[in-house]
Amino acid sequence: MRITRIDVQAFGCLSDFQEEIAPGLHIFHGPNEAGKSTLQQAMLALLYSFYESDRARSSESRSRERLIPWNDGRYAAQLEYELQDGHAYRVARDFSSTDVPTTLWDVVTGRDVTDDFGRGRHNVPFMRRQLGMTKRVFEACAFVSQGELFDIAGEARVRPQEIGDTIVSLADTARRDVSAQSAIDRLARVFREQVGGPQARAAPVPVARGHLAEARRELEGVQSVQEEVRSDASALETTMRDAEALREAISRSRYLLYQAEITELNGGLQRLRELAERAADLQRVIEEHAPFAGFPAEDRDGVVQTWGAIRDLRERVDAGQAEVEKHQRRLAELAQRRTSLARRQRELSHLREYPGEKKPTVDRLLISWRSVAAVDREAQARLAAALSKAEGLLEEHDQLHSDVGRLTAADLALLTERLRDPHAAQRPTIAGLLLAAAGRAWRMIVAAGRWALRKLVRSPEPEPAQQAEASTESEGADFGSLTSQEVAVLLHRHRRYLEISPAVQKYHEERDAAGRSRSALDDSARQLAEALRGLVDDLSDLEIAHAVFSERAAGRSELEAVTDQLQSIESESASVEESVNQFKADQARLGRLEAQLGQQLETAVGRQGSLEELVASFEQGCRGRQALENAKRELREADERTGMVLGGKSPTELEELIKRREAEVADLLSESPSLAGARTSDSREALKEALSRQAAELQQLQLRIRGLRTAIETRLTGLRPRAEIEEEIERLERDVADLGKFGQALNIAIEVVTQAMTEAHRDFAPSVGRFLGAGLERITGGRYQKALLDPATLRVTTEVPETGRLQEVETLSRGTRAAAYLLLRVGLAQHMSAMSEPVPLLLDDPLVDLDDLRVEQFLELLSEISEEIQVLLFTKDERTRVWFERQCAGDPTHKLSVLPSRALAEPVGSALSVRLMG
Amino acid sequence: MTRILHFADLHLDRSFAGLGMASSEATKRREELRAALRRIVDLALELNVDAVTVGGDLYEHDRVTSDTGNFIGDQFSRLAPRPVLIAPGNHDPYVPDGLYWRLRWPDNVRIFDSMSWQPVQLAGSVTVWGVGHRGPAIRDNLLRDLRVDGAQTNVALFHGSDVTSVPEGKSAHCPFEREDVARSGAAFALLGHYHDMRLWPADSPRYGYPGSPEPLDFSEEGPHHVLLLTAGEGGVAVAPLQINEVTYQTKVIDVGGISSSDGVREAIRNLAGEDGPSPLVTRVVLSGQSEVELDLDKDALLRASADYFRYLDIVNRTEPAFDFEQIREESTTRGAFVRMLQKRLADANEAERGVLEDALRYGLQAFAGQGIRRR
Repeated sequence: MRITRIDVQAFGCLSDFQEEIAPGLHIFHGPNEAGKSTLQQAMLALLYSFYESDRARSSESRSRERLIPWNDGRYAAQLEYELQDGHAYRVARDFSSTDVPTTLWDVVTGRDVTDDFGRGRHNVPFMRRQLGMTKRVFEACAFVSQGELFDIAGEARVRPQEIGDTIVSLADTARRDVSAQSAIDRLARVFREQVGGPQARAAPVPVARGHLAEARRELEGVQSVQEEVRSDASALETTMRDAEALREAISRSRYLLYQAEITELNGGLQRLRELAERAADLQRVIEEHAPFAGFPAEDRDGVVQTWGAIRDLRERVDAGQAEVEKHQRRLAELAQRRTSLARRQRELSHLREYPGEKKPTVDRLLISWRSVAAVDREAQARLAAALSKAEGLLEEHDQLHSDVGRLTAADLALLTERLRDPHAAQRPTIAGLLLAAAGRAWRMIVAAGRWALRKLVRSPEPEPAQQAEASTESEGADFGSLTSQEVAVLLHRHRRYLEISPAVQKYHEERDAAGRSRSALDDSARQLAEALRGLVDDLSDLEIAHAVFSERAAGRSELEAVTDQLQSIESESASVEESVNQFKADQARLGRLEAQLGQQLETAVGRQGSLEELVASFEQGCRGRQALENAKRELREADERTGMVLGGKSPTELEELIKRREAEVADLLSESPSLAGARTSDSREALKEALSRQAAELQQLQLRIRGLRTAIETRLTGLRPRAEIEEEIERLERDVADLGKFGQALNIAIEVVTQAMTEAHRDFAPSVGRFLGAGLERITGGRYQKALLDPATLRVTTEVPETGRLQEVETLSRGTRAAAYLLLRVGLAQHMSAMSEPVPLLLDDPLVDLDDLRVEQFLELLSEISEEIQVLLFTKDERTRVWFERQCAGDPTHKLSVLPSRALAEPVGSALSVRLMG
Repeated sequence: MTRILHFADLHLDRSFAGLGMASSEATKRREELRAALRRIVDLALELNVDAVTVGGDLYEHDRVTSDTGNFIGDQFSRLAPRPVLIAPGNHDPYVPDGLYWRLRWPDNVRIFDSMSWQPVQLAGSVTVWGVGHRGPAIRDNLLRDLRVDGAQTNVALFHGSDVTSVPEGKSAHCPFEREDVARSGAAFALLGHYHDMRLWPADSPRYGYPGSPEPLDFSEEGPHHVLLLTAGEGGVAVAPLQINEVTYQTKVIDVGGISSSDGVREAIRNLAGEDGPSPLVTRVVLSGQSEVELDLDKDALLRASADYFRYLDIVNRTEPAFDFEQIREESTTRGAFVRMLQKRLADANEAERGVLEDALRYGLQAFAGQGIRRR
C-alpha cells in the first residue's frame, strides 16, 4: 500500500491541509508544534479510525477528543492510497461524532465500496482487510510515535503473540486471492464432499464402504453356497459310492437268498411227498381202530386207580391173616399176665407211700459210716500198739522233759566241753569268752539245769525262774558252777531223754489220731441214724436198721414196676385189638371195591369174567381207542404241515417258483460272475431280513442322491454370478482405496499447510533478526553484526564484540538501543510487506537519539527500503533535511515537505512541500 | 490323416475385476468369451476336424454357472459324433462340485478325470493321451509318467507349465521340462495354461500352447489363436489359426501443451479413427505435465469419449505444471508448504511417494483456488 494524498479539513492543529504523498521516502520536516505528529495521527485515524470495534473504549474516545480541531473547522479528513494490485481508494472520515461516519470509494470506478468491507458502528474496517493487520499491530510495526520507540510491546499496546499471528495471517495471503486458511478450508471441503469421514454416512467413502461391505457379504453368501455345494457334491460322491457298494451287496444277498429259497422249496416238495405217505398210513390205522371209537377210555384213570387199590387191599388182607392170629394169642398172654401182676400189686400196696426214694442217700450215709468205722478201728489198733511201747516210759519222759528237755545243742556242746576240761571255766579262752558272751542269753536255761540237777541230788534249790533271777543278780553265774558229775548226770539224762522221746512222741500222735477218728465215727453214725429215723422202728443197730430199710424200699420199687407193667399190658392190648379191627375193615372194603369194579368193567367190555380178565380187556380197549385218536391227530398235523409247506400255494406253483428263482440266480450270475459259489451260514430269514434292510438303505441313499442333486442345482440358482460380484468388489475396493489415498493426500496437504502456517509464525523472528543484524552492522559501522529477536517478548539481543556474548540491547547505549528498536520496526514492516501488502512506515522523529553517522546510515537504509515500502518520516531533525537534500535530490519517488512552526500561528492548510527534482 | 482342433484357456465366466470395468462391460466381455467358443465349434465343423481337444481352463470353477455348463454342453453336442476331449486344468479341475463331475455331458464329450494318463483312440491311428487336474494346485510333473510308443501317433493332452518359460506372475501347474515331451514318446503335446500362443521348437514343434482364444486383459494384446494339428504319414504338423474378435490396446496421450479438457477429449477421440467406433478395447494413459488450469475430470472424459470405442479406460498419470522451484522460494505459507512437502518426499519410500505427490498437487491446487479432483 502506498498513501498518495491526504486532505485534512480540520484535525488537531491542522486545518485545511492537503498533501500529495511520495511513493518512496516522504519526509515531513518542521520544528516542534508544526503539526508533524498530528499529521501522522491523522493518517492513522484515516486508515484505522479511532475505534477498533463497535464498542467505543474511553481511551479511544480520549484520543479522538484530544485531536479535536483547534479552530471551528469540520473535524474530518480524506486519504487516498493505492494497493499493490493496482486498486486505488479514497477514504473520507468524519471524526466529529463518535460514530465516525466513513466512506470508501474506489478511485478508478468512483464506486462507493464502503459496504464491501462491512460497516461497523464506529468504523469501516477496510484497512484491516486490505492490509491484513489490526490497528494495534500496525501501530506496533509501522507506526512509531514520538517517544514510543522502545515501547513496541508495551502493556497498553500490542502483545508479541498478536504480531506473530498477524505475520502468519499475512503469510497466509501469499499475495493471492486464496489464503492458506482458505486452502485448508477448500481441502477440507473437498475431503468432506469427495471422501467423507466415518460419521458422514452419505459421503463417498462411507457409501463406497457400505456398498463394498454389502458386496462382500453377497460374495460371502455365494461362497458359502459354493461351500455347501462343495460339501453336497462331496457327500453325493460318497453317497453314490455307498449306493454302488450297496447294490453289489444286494445282488449278493439276493443271490444267496434265491439259492436258499431254491433249496428250501425243493426240500418242501420232498416234505410234501413224505407227508402224503404218512397220511395214507394213518388213514389205515384209523380204519383199523374204528370199533374203539366209543370205548370209554376216559374212565381208564379211575379203573386203574380202583384196580390198584384192590390189589393193595388184597396184598394187605393176605399178609394180615397170620398177623391177626398172632395178635389174638398175644391178647390171651397179656390177660394172664395182667392177673398175676394185679395180685402182686395188691400185696405191695401198703408200701405205696414208703419213701423208697431216700435209699440212695441212706446208702451213701451207710457206706460213709462203714468207712469211718474202719478207719477208727485202725486208729484204735495203732494207739494200742503205741501205748504198749510207751506205757512204761510216759512218766520218765515227762520227768526228763521237764529236766533237760529245754537244753539246746549249744548247751550240750558247752556241757560236753566242761566235762572234758573241768578248769576251762577259770581260764579265759576264746571259747570261754564266747561262752561268757552267750551265757547271759542262756542264763535261764542254765539256772533251770542247775535246779534240775540240785533236785536230782536232793538239794533244796529255788525254782528255775527264781534261780535265773538270782543268777542275773549275781552277774556271771553259769554252767561253770556245775560240777563235772553234775554235768555228766545232766548229759546222761539228756541222752535218756533223747532215747525215749520217739516212743512217747508216737504214742501221743496215735492218741490224738484215735481221738479224731472216734469223733468222726460218732458224727457219721449220728447222720445215718438221723436218716433212718422214722423209716425203721429200731435204730439200735444201724446195720440191721439199714437192712430193714433196704427191704422196704425194694418193695416200694417193685410196686412201681408192677404198676408200670400193668399199664404197658393195657396199652399193648389196645393196640393189638386195633390192628385186628383194621384187618377186618380192609376185608370189608376189598369186597366192596371188587364188586364195584367188576360191574363197571363188565359194562365196558361187554362180558363177564374174573376181575383180572376184565381189567385186561379194558386195557386192550383203551389202547385201541388211543391208537385211533393218535392216528386222527397225526393225520390232522400232517395236513397242517402240508399246508404250511405249501404256504398257500399249490405244489405246481412251488415248482414254478423254483424255476423262476433259478432263472433269477442265472441272471445275477451273468451280471456278477464273482457271485458264483458264494456261500453263507445265514438263514433264509436272516438273508431276507438283510435284503430288506439293504433295499431300504438303498432307497434311502437314492433319495439322498436325488436330494443332493436337487440341492446342488437349486442352491446355485438365483445367485448373482460370482464374477460380477468380484468385479463389483474390486471396483469398490479400488474406489475405497483411491478415496482413502485421496483422503490421505488431502489430509497430508491440510496438515502441511497448517505446519507451514506455524512455520511462518515461527520463522518471522529469525527473519527479522537477520534484518536487525544486517541493519545494526550497517548503522554501527560493523560493531554489532548479529542480533536476535525473541518472538515471545519482542526483545532484541545482540552479540557484544568485546565479550562475544549476547546481550540485551536495553543494556547498550541509548543510540544503539534506538537504532535497534527502529530497525525492529522497520524489519517487522518489511517482513510483513514481503508476505503481503507492503505496509507504509509512519515514523515520528525516530532518529533523535542517533549520532550523525548513524542517522545518515539509517536514512540510507530507509531510502533503500522505500523502494518496496513507502516511508513517511516526520522529523524536526536538521541532519535529516540536509541528508535528503544531499542524497535524494532529483529522485521523483522521494519528497521532503516542510511544515512551518505554528506555535503561535493559525492552523496551516498545507505544508511547504519541497520536491527536489533533478 | 487325422485333424484335431485344439484350444485352451477360454476362462468362461471369468472375472474382469482387475480391469476396473463396469459390471455391464465385464458381462459383455464374458459374452464375447462365449462367442469365441461358438466360433471355435463353427470352425471345427467348417474344417470337419476329427476331434476337438481342450487343454484346460475351459471355465473358471469358482465362478462358472450351470447356465454356462449347459452352454458348453450345447456347443460340444453340435460337434457330435466328433469326440471332444477335455483335459481339466487348474481353473476347471475335475472335482465333485465342478461342472465336469455334476453335469451330464453329451456322449461325444470325454473328460479326462484321472491324474493317470488315459488313451482315447481316434480315427487314423491317432491316440490322444490325457490327464486331468483333480485339484486347483497340481505341482507334480505328470508328463514324466507318460510312456508311449508303437506304430500309432500318440498325442499328449494336458494343462501344464513349461518350466523354462513361466511368464512373470504366473504359477507353474503340472510343470514339465521340454525334454519330457520327447521322453514320453508322444509325437506332440497339446497344452494349455499360457495365454499367449507358443510353439516349441519353432521349426519343428513338439508342443504347442494355443493361448487364450480371446485376450483377457491389457497384457494380452495382439492376435489370439487355436491350433490345428494334422497327423498323417509324414508325421504331425501344427498350424495356428487366429480366432479372436476382441483386441486390447493401450495408448498414451501427452497432455503437455493441451490447455483445456476439450483438447484432451479431442485427442482421445482421434485415437478411435474416423471409421466409426473403434473395435478395440482401449486404455488411454494421460501423461505429461498438465497446465495448472487443465481440468482432467476422468469421468467427464469417459462420458464424452466412451462411445467412440468398444471399451475405453482412461488412466491419468499427468503431473500439473507447477513451478515448484519458484514457489518454494516464496516467503509465504505456500512456499513453506512446498518446501515441507518436498522435504517429506525426499525422505519418503516409494509407497508414500504417490500420496505425498498427490498431497503437494492438491495443496497447490487449493492455494490456486482450483477445483480438486481425485486422479
